[in-house]
Amino acid sequence: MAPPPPPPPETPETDSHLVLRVASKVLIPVILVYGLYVHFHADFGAGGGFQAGVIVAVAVMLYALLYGVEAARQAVPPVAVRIGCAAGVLLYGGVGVLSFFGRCPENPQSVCPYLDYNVLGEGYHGQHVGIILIEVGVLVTVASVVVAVFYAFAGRQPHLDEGKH
Amino acid sequence: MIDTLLAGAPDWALTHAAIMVVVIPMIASAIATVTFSGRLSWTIAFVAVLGALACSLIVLGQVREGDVPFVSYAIGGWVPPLGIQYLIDGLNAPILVLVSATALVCLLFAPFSVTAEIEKDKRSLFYATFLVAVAGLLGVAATGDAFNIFVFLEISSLSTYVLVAAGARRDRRALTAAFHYLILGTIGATFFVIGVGFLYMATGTLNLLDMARLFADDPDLSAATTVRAGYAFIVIGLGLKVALYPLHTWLPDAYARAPSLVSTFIAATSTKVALYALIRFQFAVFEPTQSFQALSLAWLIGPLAAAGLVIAAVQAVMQGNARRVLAYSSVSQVGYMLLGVALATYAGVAAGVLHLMTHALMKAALFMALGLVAARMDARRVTDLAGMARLMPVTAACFTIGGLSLIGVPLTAGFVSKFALFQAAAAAGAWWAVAAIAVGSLLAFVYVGRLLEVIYMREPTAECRAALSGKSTPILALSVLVFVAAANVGLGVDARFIESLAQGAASAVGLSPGGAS
Amino acid sequence: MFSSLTVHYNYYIVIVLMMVGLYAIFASGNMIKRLVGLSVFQTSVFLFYITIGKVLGGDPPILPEKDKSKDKTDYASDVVAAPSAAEQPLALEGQGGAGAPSLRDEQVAPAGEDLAPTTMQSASADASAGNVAGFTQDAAAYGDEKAGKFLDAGEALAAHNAAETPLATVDPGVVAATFPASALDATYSNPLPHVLILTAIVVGVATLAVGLALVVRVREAFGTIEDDDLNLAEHEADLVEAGR
Repeated sequence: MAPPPPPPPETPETDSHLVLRVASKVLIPVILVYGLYVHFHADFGAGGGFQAGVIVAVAVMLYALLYGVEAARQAVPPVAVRIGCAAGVLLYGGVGVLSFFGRCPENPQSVCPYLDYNVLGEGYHGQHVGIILIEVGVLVTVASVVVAVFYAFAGRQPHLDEGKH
Repeated sequence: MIDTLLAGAPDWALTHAAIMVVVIPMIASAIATVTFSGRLSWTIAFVAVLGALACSLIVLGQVREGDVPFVSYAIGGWVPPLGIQYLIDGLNAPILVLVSATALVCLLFAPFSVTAEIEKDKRSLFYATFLVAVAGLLGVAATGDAFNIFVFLEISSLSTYVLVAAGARRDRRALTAAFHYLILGTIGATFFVIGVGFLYMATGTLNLLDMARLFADDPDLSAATTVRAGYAFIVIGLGLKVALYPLHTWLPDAYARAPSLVSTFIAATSTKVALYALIRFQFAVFEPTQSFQALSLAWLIGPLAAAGLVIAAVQAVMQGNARRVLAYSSVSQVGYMLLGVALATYAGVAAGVLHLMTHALMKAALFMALGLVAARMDARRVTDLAGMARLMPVTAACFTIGGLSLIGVPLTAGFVSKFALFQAAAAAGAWWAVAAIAVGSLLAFVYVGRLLEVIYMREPTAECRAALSGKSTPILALSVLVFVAAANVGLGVDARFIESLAQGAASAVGLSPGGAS
Repeated sequence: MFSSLTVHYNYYIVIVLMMVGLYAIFASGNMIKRLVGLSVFQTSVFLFYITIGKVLGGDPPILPEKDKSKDKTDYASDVVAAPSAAEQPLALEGQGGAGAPSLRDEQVAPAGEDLAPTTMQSASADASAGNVAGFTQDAAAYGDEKAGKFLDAGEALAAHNAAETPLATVDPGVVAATFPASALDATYSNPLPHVLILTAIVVGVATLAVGLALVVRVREAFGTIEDDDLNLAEHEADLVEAGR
């Protein structure tokens, strides 16, 4: 079943969602910046990678709600989303594996275990950098997964040949 | 073999094997997500599971032959109990090897089965999800932190729900089976996390070793109401995952409707890992001498295990779908394992762990044989298998070996573990358990015999002949099946290795032979 | 009974939510309603964890730094300071009674105070003495088999670690130099349950996503998501499978 043809472009006189569309053009970048704020401010208040990832995904979903799922798919392609899901996990795991290559004199065996942030910097700076990095990984994965779930539900073309009996 | 591996492995592998056994499949699943080709995804999965198997064998060697009978790994460099600790001792090292070896065997058998049952564009994600399930199960087995067990339990469960639902192409009821499994599995995991919350309230720590120390130090603590509530929630939650008798209703549908590869894998691993967690909490963390625990083992888990043994076996006799017969048989066999655990003696727990290992082997052979048939024709009903011995002789022979092992015929692995259970129950004076095992074996003879009768004594139908002609089973899949079936017989003849593993497991949780715990 | 209600109202709310969620799961005839019940059930668990981490009068567990301008020589001491920062939030000095890690559920806890006891405090105190001390146990106390091999593991581990260079021992002077005294003496809410619940929330969201995806697929495959119709369809298929 072919997707329905896109509706004709609306002029400002006939567009019933004009206010929403103009407002969203202002707000969506703000939402994205707010997501990044929530991510980086997690040291000092509530926040973190998961919350920030969901906020970034909300920006994409708002765009899809107002301009259509097709437009959103052009802006954030599904392939990029699928790669994003994995990229965050690889970043988190990569930081952990990176710690294998450091020297941790504090550790009894002088071998750094998995996810030891001391290799990334001295003292608590290592911890700081490590946490920010893994939270970026969490942000990317969570944003990608939530957008992927949204695409899966919103843009679904039903498979009509599923094993019926 | 393990010695040569330990001798030949580089230093970094020896140090980090405990964590790499979980990290390798997890990272590989992320890589497999971004590949769009099923073949490449399979290769990544194969390499990753091979790596995980190597790491788990290294850890097993370190546990058995190292200075200390365990391997401890502090993640992030944070000293336990402040940080998360992976603690691998005689109880969970065999489980790690079991899960990774089963995953490897399933992957060798996979290309043939997956080609027949999963759509082409979903195969790479199928293998990625499979890797997530493997990573989750290995994580549950490896970790020494209670909340970490919950996290990995949910990781493995969520991916298993998705894998079960992948059978929707053949049978749309896989979707409702997966949904039912999701609801019950999530309730079970949530009960488990409530129990962990109670334990955290009582002890202030999440580390299993630290909790064990606190309970051993302070009898008042281990008898407190909060701890008892935590115990109840944990036992029920894990009991749901392990398919203890009245909590087993998700299992038959999930095993019967999933793709064959998934059935083979989860039948051999998921309930086993949950049983490991149950044994760990029962004997290593909580104090089994406490009256509430001894009472619940003797009056709750024991009778339910015996009831499940018998009732599920009766239900297995009456099923019309071959895989449902095996699924109800799995519930029955879990009853055997829990019976051994409920005896709370060294011999009982060792027999339970032994049965855990042999059952994984038996069920893997049986489900794989059915999977080979299903890959060539859409066989569901028991009657569809009629005359299979004539059309697929090697597969039928391997199925027979698995079935005989399930009954407990001497010279098979199943006999070794059932005999151990018999001995343990008799030594503990639990004659109701001996009776239950005997009745269960008789019923196993009936339902396996029914399947064998259909396979050997009937004429194949014309549709069968037509569907099976022109295609033949690939040598790789067939040889994997033959290897697993031969392992059943081989371990039946010489069971010393797995018996030593089982005994190591029982002593690792603090039980000792020749006396109460 | 009413005093218990006003004092332990948080636990009563948890119980009510839990039972509402479970009832919705069992009694609903619709797949989506069942998922909603599951969510309510999981929410009660989140509330349970958070409520046991709350310390009355406790600050959010964020340590303000004393002085931004440190010279490089202080970084070496930051290595020892960092683990202690993780322990500070667990300093429940004035709260919850004496430091013994015993359970106080028998007595009525004053005014909704949390019952997360101070074992971590004793662990942190041990850690300041020598890192792995909190993890050992007295070998003499476990002369017999009752202790079991699992606990022997802890003892052997401690011995193993003590033989090597111990990890960061905390120097109180250094800690005082890095963080203001008011921050060290303040009481903080326990941050660990919050971390656990973030994880559990993510797990809950993932479960809900998988469940709803299954609902969408079931709707397409069966045409309905009502339990009665689904059972009917499955029953017909079962009859076919059982051999007409």
